[in-house]
Amino acid sequence: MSIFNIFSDYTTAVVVFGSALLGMVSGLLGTFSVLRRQSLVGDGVSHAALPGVVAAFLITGTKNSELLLLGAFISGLLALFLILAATKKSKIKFDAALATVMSAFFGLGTVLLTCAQKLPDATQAGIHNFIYGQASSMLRRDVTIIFICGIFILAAVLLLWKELKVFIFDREFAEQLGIPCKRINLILSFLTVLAVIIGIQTVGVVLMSAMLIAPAAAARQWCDKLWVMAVLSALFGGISGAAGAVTGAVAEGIPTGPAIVIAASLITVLSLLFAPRRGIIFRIILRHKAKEANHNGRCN
Amino acid sequence: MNLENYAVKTEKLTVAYDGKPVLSDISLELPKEMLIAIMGPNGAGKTTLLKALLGLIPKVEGETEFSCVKGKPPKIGYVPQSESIDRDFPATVLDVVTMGCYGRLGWIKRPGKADRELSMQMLAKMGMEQYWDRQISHLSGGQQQRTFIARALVQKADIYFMDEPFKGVDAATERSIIEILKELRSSGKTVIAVHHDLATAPEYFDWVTMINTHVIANGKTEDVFTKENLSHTYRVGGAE
Repeated sequence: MSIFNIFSDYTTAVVVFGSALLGMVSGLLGTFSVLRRQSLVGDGVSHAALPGVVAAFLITGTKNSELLLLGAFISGLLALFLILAATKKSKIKFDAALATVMSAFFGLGTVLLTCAQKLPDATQAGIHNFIYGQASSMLRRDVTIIFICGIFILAAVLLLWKELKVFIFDREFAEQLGIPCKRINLILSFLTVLAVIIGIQTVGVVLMSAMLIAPAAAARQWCDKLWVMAVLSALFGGISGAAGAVTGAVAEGIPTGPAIVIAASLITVLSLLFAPRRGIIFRIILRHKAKEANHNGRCN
Repeated sequence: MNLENYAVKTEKLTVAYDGKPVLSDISLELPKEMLIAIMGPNGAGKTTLLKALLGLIPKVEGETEFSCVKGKPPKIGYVPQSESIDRDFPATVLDVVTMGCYGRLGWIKRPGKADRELSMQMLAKMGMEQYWDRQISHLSGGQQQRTFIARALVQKADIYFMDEPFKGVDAATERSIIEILKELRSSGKTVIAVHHDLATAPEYFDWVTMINTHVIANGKTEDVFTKENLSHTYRVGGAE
C-alpha cells in the first residue's frame, strides 16, 4: 500500500486512528508512572495480563475482545495487588516483588497458552498474538473500547488533577492536607492497569510498557510544568501510535506493535539528546562554555 | 501541669516502628500563641512526635487533642522535612506554594486567581517573589526551605508544625524566617518546630519541649532550658 491511500482504506484508517488514540491514552497516564518512579509497574501489569487473556478464552471459548480484556484486567490487577501486598507485608523490596510476580504470571500465561494451542478446533488461532500484539486485526469495536477507556482515564485525571499532583510531589504534605492518599494511590493503580490492558492487543504484553514510559520520559525533557508534560506525553504517544501504524501498513512484513514502540523510543532518544536545558548536547555545550569562560578568566 | 490555653495536648502517646518504641508514654500540653521548640538528639523521635501529633503515622496508644479556635477545630499548616519531596518533579515555585490552598479547595476545584495572588504574597513575604517561575530543582537549599514555609503560610493555619525550618538556610534567611514566626505569634498563631541549634533556641523560642523517646522537660524556655535538662536530654549513650 502506498502512503497516500492509507486513509482511503477503511481497515487501515481504523488501525491508524486506534493506535494514535492508544498512544495518547498511555502517554497521558505514563506521565504519572514515570514521575512516581514506578515505570516498571506497567511492564509487570502487562506481562501479568497474559494468563488472564488465555484463561478468559479457555473458560468462555470465544475470542470476544471485551471478555479477553476483562480477563487481562482481572489478572493484571491481581498481580499488582500481590506486588503491593508483598512489599507491604514482607521485607521484600518493590523491584524483587515485581520481578517475581511478573515472571510467575507470565510463566502461567505461557503454560495456559500451550494448553489452548492443543485444542482441536481452530478457535484458538490468534490467541498467541497477545504476546507481540497484532494491530492489523484491530476492529472498530476495539477502537471503541480504547476510546471509552481513554475518556474515562482522561476524566479521572482531570477531576483528580491537583490531588495527583501533590500526592506524587510530596505525599507527606498531601496527607497533612487531608487528601486520601491511599485511595488516590489505588485509583492511580487502577487507571494504570486499564491503560496497559487496552494496549496489549495492539502492542502486545511484552512491549506495552514502553507505550507508558517512552512518551513520558521524552516529554519530561522539554518542560518544567506538569500539565505541559502530560499534554506533550499524550502528543508523543499519539504520534508514535500513528507513525507505527502507518509504517506497518505501508511496509509489508513490519509488525505494527513493535513499529509503534520503535517510533516512541526514537522520540525519546531525540528528546534526551536535543532538548534545551535538560538535553545531553545542551549540557555538553554548557559545560564547554563554562570551561572556556573559566580558562579565559584565568588568562586575563 | 494544666494549661488553660493549650493548643495541642497528648495523653500517653506511644509510637513504634517495627515493634520498637520510638516514642513512649508522651504526655504533653503545648501552649497557644507561642513559638515552641521540640528538641532532642538524633533518633530522639522529634519528627515522629510531629507526625504523630498531626495524625500522619499510626500510634500504638494515646490520644491527641487540639483545642478549638472560635468553636472550630484549628487549621493546621505543615512544613515537612524537605527530603520528603521529589526534587525533579516538574513544578515551579508558584506551583508548589499554591499547593498550600489545596486542602481548603475540596475535590475537583482548581486554585483560582485569588489563590495564586495569596501565594505570590506569601512568596514576597519570604523574599522569594523574583523566583516564582523557577523550577524547584533549580533552587538552593535555603530557597527551597523558604518556598515550603511560604506554602505553609498559604494554608492560613492557626497552628504551624515545622520540621527543622532553619535547615540548610544561611544566617540572613534564618533571621528573616524567625521574624516571620514572631509575626505569626503576634497574630495569635502557634508554631511548633523541631529545632537543633542549642545556641539560638533560648533566643528564638518561648517554650521548649525536650524529648528523648520520652519527655524530659516541657515548659517555658527560661524555666526548662537548663544545663541539667540539656545534659539529661543529650546524655552520652542516649538514643543515638
